[in-house]
Amino acid sequence: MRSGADPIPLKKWFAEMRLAAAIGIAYLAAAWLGLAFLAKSENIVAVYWPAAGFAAGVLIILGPSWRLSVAAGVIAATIAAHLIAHRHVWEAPAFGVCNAAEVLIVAWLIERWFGRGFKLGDLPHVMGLFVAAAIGAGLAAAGATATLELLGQPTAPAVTIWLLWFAADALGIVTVAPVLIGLPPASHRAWPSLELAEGSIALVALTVAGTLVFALPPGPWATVVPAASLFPFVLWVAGRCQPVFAAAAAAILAASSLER
Amino acid sequence: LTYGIGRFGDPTVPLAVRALAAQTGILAGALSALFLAAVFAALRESEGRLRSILNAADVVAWEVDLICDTVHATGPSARFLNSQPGLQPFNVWTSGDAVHPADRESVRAGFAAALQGKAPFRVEFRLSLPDGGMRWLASEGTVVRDKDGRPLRVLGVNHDITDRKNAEAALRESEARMRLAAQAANIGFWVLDLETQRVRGTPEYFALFGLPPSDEPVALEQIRALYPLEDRSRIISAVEESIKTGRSLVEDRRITRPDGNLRWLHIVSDTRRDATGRPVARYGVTFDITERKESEEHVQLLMREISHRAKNLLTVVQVMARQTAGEVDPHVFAEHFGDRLAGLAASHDLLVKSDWHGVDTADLVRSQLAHFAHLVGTRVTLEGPPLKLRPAGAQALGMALRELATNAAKYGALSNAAGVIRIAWDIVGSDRGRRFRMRWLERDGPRPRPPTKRGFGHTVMVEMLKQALEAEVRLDYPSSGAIWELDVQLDGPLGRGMILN
Repeated sequence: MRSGADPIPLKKWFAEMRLAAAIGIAYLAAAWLGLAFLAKSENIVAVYWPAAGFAAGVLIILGPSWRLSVAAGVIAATIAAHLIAHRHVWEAPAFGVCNAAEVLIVAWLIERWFGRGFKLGDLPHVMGLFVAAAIGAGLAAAGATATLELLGQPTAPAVTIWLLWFAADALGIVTVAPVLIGLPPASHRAWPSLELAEGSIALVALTVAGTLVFALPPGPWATVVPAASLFPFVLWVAGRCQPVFAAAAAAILAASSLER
Repeated sequence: LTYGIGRFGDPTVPLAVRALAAQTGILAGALSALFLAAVFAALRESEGRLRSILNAADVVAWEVDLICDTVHATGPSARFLNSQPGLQPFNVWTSGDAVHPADRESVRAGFAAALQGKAPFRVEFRLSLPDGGMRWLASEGTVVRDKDGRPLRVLGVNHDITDRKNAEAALRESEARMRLAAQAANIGFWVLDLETQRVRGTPEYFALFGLPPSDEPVALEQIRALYPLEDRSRIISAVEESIKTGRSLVEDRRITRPDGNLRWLHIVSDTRRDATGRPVARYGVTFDITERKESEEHVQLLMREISHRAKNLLTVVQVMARQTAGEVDPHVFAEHFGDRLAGLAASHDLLVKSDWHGVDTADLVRSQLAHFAHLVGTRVTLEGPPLKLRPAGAQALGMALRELATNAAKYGALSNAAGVIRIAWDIVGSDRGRRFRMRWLERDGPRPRPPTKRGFGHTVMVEMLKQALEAEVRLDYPSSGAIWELDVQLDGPLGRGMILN
């Protein structure tokens, strides 16, 4: 005797719910990190929003059929993050929609331009990601700026807010999404142990060098030393290792520099 | 990175501006890392693809830098070539140590000619390996020059053609064997270009048609002209049908060679088509079957002859039986009949031995005098030139001789100890008046007594020969001994069939 419920949609619904929850939790964690940078930048706008990169990367990997789950997770996490950070409650849903729209736009553009075959080792694809990130972040920043203006609580000129929001989200997408996008292909291929070891050593060296460089006291070297000392590590990783290591290097670079 | 937002940067600048500057710097750094990674990955992928292609094609790509005097090679054999002193590509082109001594000069000359711009660099040579082995390499290259035309580099590829060379050697050997077999079997191979309507063939092929060997293709019309006129349309239709149906054509054709010699050829041919299925050529083998054809015709003739002879023989036997039946004593009948059958059989044996091609006159006489073989040369003498008699004449003459010998033994020269027989034959006259004459002369025997009645013996000795050969036959019994004479006009309708040569 057959039951009236169709098991397949139910199963899919549970999967989507689980994904939405997972995305929400991870997005919340990443947003917390972003809000930490917000605290250090005198409470204007977060200067680095890795959560946007995380959500965009996941959606690019999973494909458009999971966009509702991802969008739901992003909105829920954004609201939660605002509540936790004791920010204005009424901004939260609007920011959630902006963040979700941003992720959907970036993933949709990538899907539209490159299909499901996005590759970090392909220069046009990387440039496409940059353009998609700029468009998505730009639109989201516009929405967020409008929200702040409408609610009458801006702490800076609208242009500054838009610029900071745009740069933070674009930075988040460009530094975090490639790491996620690069992981599945990397997990599918048999890595030569030598290459894996070299990539790991290079990343550790970059982290250490970044930490040391940005720990230097203020001085005239501040204009040249950081870039000059970290560039060889970036070149090493980019030239010798798979693109996913370079993506990780970019993320490390961003985190270590902004952390200071 | 240049303008950090924390402890870096000018504190007098607003924090938001410093944050934007930091974001921009980090973004640029991150993008640079990603772009560099993409570029390097693309380069690695391209190089990997090139290596895969070179490996798959078993090709070594090389570059000789003529200024720096260095060589770089990529491909499956690159490591091997670079790790073996004396085997590096540069040494191959200049000193040529690793090149097989027989190929060194051609390799050096090819390289020098390419550098001088006289010819593209393209050589095939053998390379001696350290383990004592040898490989065949094909090398092709292009010279890169400066604006003044001075050679700077040579870029090229080597590919291993050992298998191809071995296959070519095996093919050459196979072709040589086949040519030898074709020569031994007198088989000709040919290819007809359907567009030019010209035939290219082996020397054996042209020899079959009585034509001189030709390295150049010969017009098809020249070949077709050798077919009898009445066969040509049938041959052309058969070829067209073969092209249309795609079935190979197997047939026997008559030809008349330029010297007038008629030959039979067996031809097996088929159509070669291009990639679109369009017929482009006919090819095949041809060999001479004239002897087989003649043999077949002879067999058929023989069968007809045997049938005819058998009927004649049965008629003769029937007449013999009827005539001999006049002997009232069954024992006498059996003896006479058996003796005449033996004579007939002796003539028959001779004809069979010669495949019914004819019987030598002396052999025929000897066969009929088989019982007196020990007397031949002493009391029986044979005189006459070698003359081959046709089967019909031989059979009738044989029976007559047998009858004469029987009579001689019973009543004539061989019935005593002193009688002799002289059997002589010859061709007399010339041209249209030629006659075959044979005489049987007995002497020193008992005085002959002419027979009182004419029995079967007379029929065989006289009447049958008259009818069978339109001969004049005389049988007398003078006191010296019996005389039998046969005179056949060879130009007569029946006499023409008497003598073969």
